[in-house]
Amino acid sequence: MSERDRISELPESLLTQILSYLPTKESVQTSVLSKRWENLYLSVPGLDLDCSSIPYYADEVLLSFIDKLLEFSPESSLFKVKVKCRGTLIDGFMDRIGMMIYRGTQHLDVESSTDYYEDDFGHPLPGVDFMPMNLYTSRTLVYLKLLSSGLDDPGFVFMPCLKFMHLEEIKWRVHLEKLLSGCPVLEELTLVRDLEDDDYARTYDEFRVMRVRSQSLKRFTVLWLRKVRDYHSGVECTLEIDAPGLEHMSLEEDQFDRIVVKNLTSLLVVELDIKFFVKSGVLFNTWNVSKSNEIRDFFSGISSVRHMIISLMTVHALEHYSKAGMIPKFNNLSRLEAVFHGKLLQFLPALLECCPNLKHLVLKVVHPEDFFCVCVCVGLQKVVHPEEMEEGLELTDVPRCVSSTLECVEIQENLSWRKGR
Amino acid sequence: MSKKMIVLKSSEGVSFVVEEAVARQSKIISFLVEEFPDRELPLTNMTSEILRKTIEYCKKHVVEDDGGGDSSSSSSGDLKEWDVKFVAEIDQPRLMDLLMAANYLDIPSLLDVTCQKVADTIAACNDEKEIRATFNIENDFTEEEVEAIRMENQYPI
Repeated sequence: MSERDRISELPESLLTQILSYLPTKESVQTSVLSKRWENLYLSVPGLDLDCSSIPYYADEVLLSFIDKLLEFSPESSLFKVKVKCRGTLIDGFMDRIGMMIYRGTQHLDVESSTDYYEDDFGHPLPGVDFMPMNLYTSRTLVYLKLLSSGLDDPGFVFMPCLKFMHLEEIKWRVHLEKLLSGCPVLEELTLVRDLEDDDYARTYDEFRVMRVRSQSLKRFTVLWLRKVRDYHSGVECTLEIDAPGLEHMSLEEDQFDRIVVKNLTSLLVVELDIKFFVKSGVLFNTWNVSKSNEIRDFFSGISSVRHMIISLMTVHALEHYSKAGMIPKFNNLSRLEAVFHGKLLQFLPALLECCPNLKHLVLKVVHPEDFFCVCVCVGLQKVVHPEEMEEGLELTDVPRCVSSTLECVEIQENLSWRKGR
Repeated sequence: MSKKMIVLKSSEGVSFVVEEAVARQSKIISFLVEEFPDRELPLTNMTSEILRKTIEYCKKHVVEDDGGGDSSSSSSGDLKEWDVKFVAEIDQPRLMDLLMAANYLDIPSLLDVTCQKVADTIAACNDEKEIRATFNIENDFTEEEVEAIRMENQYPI
C-alpha cells in the first residue's frame, strides 16, 4: 500500500481534462475522493448532462446544480457541451444552455425535449424546445449537433467558425438557407427531416423548400431516421442542393418529395439509397412527366461525379426511369458500385453504356446464381461455364466501357468476391 | 534523399535518433528544431523508457505526405484500435508518466488517448472506494465530511 498516488500529483489542468471525458454525473462523484479532488469537477472545461430521467420534482435541484457549475469559474471556457433533455420541457433549461454557449463552447450537442400538447380539437401537436438566440451568433462554435430542437428566426446569423452541423428532426422557424448563409466556413452538413408536422409546418408554405445553399460545403448527407416510422409527413417538401464546392453527397433515405441539384461541379463521390418517391414500397409512375423530369435533372446535375455508389432501390428506380426517359452520360465516372439482382441485371448493359470511361466496377449480387448473369453482362465469357450460360442474357453489343476503359470488375456475393479482366 | 534526423536525449543521457517528421508531432520539439537546428535536444525530465514509448506513438501517427502511395499510412479506424491497444498495455504509473510527457511535449492526440484511458479507468470503478484503491488516493476526509460533500454535490437522478 506504499505506492505513490500519482494521479493526485497531476496539475489541476490535466485532472480537469481527465474529468472532462466523464459524464458530469460521474465527475461530480470524484469530489468525495480527497480534499485535492473536492472542487475539481467544478473546473472541468465541459459538461455532459443526461437529464432524460430527471423526475419532475427534481427540476429545481437540477437547475441549481447547473447554476452552481456555471457560477464557479465564470471566466473559464466550456469547450464541449453535451446535453440530453428530458421528454418534457424544463422551464428555464434553454436559458442555461444559452449561458453555456456564452462560455466559448466549441462543441455543442443537444438532444431537445419532444413534448406534446393538444390543440383545440384534442389532436396532439409537438411542443417545440427552441434553442437560445445567442446560438446564432456564436463566434466559437465549430461543431453543432441538434436533435428535435426548434430553431427560431434570429434575424441575423453569423457563426464564423462553424465547420460541422448535424440537424436532426428540427422544428424550423428560420429557413435553412438563411442559417447556412451565416456559416461561411461550413464543410459538413447532415440533415434528417422532421416528419412530425407541427401546425407551423402545415400552415406556412414557404417552408416547403429546404435550400442547402453554401459555397464552402464539402460534404452533405441526408441520414436515416433513427426511429423507423410507418407514416410520412403530410407536408410536401422539396430539397434543393446548390453547393459548388460539394465533394461528397450521400442521400440515404427518401425523406423529401422532390430533390433538385444545382451547381454540383466539384462532386467526387455520390451515395444513393433513394427511389425518388416517399411512400414505402411504391415506385413513381412513369407517366408522371414532372417526376421523370425531376429524375433526369437530378442525374444530369450529378453527372460529373467520379465515384458512385447506388443501392438496389436506386438501381430499381433508375431502371424504372429508363423506360420513360434517357439516363444522362456519366463521362467522369471511373468507379461504380451497385447492387443488382435477378431481372434487374438486364438493365446493367444499358447502365454501363452511360459510363463510357468506367475503370472499376463493383457489383453486389443478392443471389449467388446472379453471378453468372453478371459475368455475361460485362463480357467475361471466360469465367462462365457453358451449361450455365443458358440462364444468362443474350448480349449483342458489349458496352463501350467494357471493351475500352474498364480495368477491374469485382463481383461480390455475400462475403466472397472474385476479380476478373 | 535521406530523411532529416534529429537527436533526443533522455534523463539518463541516452540518445534517440528520430526522423524529424516523427518528432515534429510534438509542438515543443517542432519549435526547438526551428530555434536550434542541428543540436541534440535534452529532455531532462523524461526517462528513456517513456521517451521510447512516446517515440513509438509518434512513429505510428506520423502522416506520410511525401507523395508516396496512401497504402503506407494507416486508416483512422486502424489507428484508433492501435491507440487503444497501446494504452491498454501500459501499467498505471507509466501511463501517468506518458500523460505528463504528452502534456510537456505538447502532443495533443497522445494527451487525448492517455486522459481518455485514465477517465475510462475511473468510470470502470463502482464507487469512490474503488477509485481510491485503484489510484492509491489517500482519503483525508472524515466520514462526516464525506457525507456533507455528498449531500452538497447531489446530482439529481
